[in-house]
Amino acid sequence: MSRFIFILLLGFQSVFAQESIFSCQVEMGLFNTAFNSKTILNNNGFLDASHKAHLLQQLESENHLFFQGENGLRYTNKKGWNIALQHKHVGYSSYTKDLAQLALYGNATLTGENLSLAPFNTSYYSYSELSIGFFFHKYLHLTTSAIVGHQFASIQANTADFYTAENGSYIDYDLSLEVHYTDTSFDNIFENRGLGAALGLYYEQEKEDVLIRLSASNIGFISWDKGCTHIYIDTAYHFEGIVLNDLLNFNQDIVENEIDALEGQINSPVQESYTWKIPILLRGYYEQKLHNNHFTAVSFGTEHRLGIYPSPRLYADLHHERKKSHWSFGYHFGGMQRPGIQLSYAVQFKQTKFRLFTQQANLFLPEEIYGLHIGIGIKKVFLPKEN
Amino acid sequence: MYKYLFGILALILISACKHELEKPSWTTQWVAPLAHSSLSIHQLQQDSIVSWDTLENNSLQLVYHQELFKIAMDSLLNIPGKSKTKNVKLDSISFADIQINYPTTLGSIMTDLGATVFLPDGAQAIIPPYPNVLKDTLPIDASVYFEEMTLNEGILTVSLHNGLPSDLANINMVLCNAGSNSEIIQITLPMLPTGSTHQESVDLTGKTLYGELEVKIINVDMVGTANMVFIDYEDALTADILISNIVPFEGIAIFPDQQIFNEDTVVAFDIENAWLTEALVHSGGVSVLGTSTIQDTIKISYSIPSATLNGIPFELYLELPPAPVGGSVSDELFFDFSGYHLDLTGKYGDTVNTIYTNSTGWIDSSGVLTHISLEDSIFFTLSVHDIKPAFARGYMGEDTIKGNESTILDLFDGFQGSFDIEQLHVAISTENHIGATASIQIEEIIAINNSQSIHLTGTALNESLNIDPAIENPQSSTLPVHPTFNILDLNQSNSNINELVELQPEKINIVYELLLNPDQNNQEGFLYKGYGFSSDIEISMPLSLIAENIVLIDTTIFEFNIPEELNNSSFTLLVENGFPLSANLKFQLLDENMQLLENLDENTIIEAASIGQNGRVTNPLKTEVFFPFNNSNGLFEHARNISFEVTFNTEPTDQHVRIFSDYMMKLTLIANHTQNINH
Repeated sequence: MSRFIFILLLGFQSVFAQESIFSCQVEMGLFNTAFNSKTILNNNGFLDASHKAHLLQQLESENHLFFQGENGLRYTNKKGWNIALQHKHVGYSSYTKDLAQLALYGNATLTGENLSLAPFNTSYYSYSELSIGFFFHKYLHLTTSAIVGHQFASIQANTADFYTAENGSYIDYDLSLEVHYTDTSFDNIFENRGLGAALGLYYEQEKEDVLIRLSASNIGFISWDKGCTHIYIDTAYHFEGIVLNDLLNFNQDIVENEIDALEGQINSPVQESYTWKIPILLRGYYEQKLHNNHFTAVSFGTEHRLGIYPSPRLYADLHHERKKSHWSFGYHFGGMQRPGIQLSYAVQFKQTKFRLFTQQANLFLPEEIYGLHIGIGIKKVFLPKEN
Repeated sequence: MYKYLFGILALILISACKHELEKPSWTTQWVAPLAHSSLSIHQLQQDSIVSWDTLENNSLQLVYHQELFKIAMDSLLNIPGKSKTKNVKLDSISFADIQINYPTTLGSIMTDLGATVFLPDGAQAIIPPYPNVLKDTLPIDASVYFEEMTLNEGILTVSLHNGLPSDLANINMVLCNAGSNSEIIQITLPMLPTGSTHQESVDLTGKTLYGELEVKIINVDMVGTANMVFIDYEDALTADILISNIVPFEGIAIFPDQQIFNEDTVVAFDIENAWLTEALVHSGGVSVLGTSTIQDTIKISYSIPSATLNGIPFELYLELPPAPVGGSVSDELFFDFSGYHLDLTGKYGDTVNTIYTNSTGWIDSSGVLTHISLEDSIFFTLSVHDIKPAFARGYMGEDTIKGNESTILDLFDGFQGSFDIEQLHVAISTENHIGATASIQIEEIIAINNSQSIHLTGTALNESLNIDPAIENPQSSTLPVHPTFNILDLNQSNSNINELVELQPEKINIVYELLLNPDQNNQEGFLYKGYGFSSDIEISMPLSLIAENIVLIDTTIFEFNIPEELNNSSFTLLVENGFPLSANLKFQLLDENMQLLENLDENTIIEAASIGQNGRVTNPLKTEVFFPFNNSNGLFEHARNISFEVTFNTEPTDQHVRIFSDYMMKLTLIANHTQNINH
């Protein structure tokens, strides 16, 4: 199917292109804020007590996992309009140290402690979008997208307090949880479990030695179809075990009745359509050209995914440009990543430009590697034919 | 494209790895409460035979209650079945008079004489004498009334009226059954002047009449007229035949409706001793059997005015179809008497145990010819089938009931060991639920266990106990009687009851004699079905005791599906003991044949709470009992029963310990589970 799209875009360019650009970019990343690669790679399989203690030591009070996979094809006409097909996967999770502690040890060693397992949220979504963009102002560019949703799963726990009494004589929990999910199988990008639309607004101005870019994209929604399942739990429970009024008549029925009572606190799953707002992506970029310096430019940027990043991701890069290549390296912090170094390298051949970049460039410092990220871009410029 | 990206990522990872990445696994330990319960002394009341009285300062008195015997006096109420048969013969058969009119017109006479030319109708003429103008045999048809009838009584009257314009002379005629020469009546008359009437009667007693009669006219002379007379052919000699006062002996006839009997019958029941004036029927009924030889429909109406349901007297109606010729017909009907109220004072309200009935029988004319004879008869039998009243009123009579009852005592079931009761009180209470006086003499009480028995001795059994009549409570449909009672107190001063209780008897034998209306007071009383006399034993003892190795054993069904994940779990029993009793727990898993599979634990001791200076437990004592659990051999899947054995000892061991109602033992069963996490 991707071949079909590719041929379609080539067709566009053959008809309209005079000085047009066709580009392709693939990007993939996996980050966590808690464990570095050394911790992960030192895993011998079984986590003993010291290993668990070490893992726990590395945890912050709130920890994050993030996965991003995006690829896209874009055709940009010399007149400024463009058409693009993109496919996006995003998964992220936030969890507390208490939750990790409970998962690693169980509650037997945590009796008498109030465990706060919230905020806890885990989400995954993937969708494909076909977007068309155009300039409606000298500096302003607008894209509109039609979206086909493929997969969606979301668990949001706003309240999850857990307490086990000394000796385990009772358990208290207070849980407010919302779950939504569709079928998670995925066959192709035309597999449709929801439809949506989105807008993107871009500002770009280059003046003398300054380049400014501002954008707000993914402003939209996906309406997942009626196969979407929803579970709502809002309960506080004090569990002392099954109440036995007659010790000598304890039987399986009593146990099953108690289990039924516990299950009764969970509202039955409901299947109905669900309109979900796509996390908005905000970006800002400022680049200042430098003269008479080894570095040709310095840039500062920020990126924020509303509802996902606990704080905006900020970064700064130094750029070095040579005749056919361009290097940049910088430092970032915030977002869903530990602070680290990022690198980008681009090389240009006649009409084609290749770019390789990563946000996790601490490759040979295992104690500083908290994720993996790589991106590849190819841009092909079609010059106007000389008559 | 992803393939290439993954390849690059993998290359990076491989280059950075010291080891191959292995799937992480770890162990987690979980603890959760499974069940909790609390035991107070009151929970033993579920046994229903034991109750507790809370005395001052919440101290407890154990009250054990057990029925010793119960006598329902329903036998006093039984009204035995009784039958009464009635044989009714027809003493009379009523039959309406029969009247037949037979005219002979002048026109027919003139026609027979051939004189119509000379003496035409409407002419004025002198009629000459005509001898022997009538000589004929004329049929008289009475078959529409009867076919044949033999009469016990009856009168035949023949009236001759000369409506002709001429006198008649030398009249000679005979009335007889058709085809028969024997006359019923013969009329010989020398002269019957014109316009005159002659009447003649004959007694028909013993005679048989047929429906087809004949009048034989032997001679009638027409005298003639001297003067001109008007000739009217409608003028006639008329014969009126009247059969009256008919009392048939038998006959084939269309008999009219007629009552055959109507009489009252008294039914007096043979109720031993009791003089009942009123009863409400719980079960029982009345049947009526009727037999008839009458070849016509017989109807019988039967009523019992003294039996009413919702104020409406009892009535039944029996209809017997016509009997076949030479045979009889029978029918029987049963009526349920349940719910009927019986007035047993007779028709005039001056007797007891008696009802009266009224019966009426009649022939319902079928409109066809049937044979009825005074030899015909009707039998009907009224049977009252064993009436069992739900309630009766009257004098209940005198009765003597001797009893020897053996009663199982389960107060000490499951107990082993010994105890010393500080103060003991035993009461035997006898209740009277009948509206009659009674007295009971308890002659003997024996406490029995496996190894020995002890007789009650002392002065307690010297006297009989009188009990007043119970009081009726008609406002209540569920408890119609307020019983009266008398209590025989047994204590250490009037008997050796302590010895009997300390024996921990398994059963008690009691011999008694009960007298009903011992004073023969003839006073009206009452009795409700199911009510009578009952006697209970009540054992009360303040819970201040020394318990030494008292063992409580019980076995209950064990049917659990143990999840495989719990095979290597353990359990903790948290006990918060508020009793001054230590307990040694033993659990045994048994198979379906009660064979031991496994001792879950032995000699697990729950320590007794200590008693303060005020004689009470102030701080419950916590004990943690650990039960390892290993179901790896599937032991629990074969277990079908679990046996509990708890051995109690009071602490301190050498002094009486009081048990208070607010003492409680809290139990919480906690599962300890180690879960391996493998990804």
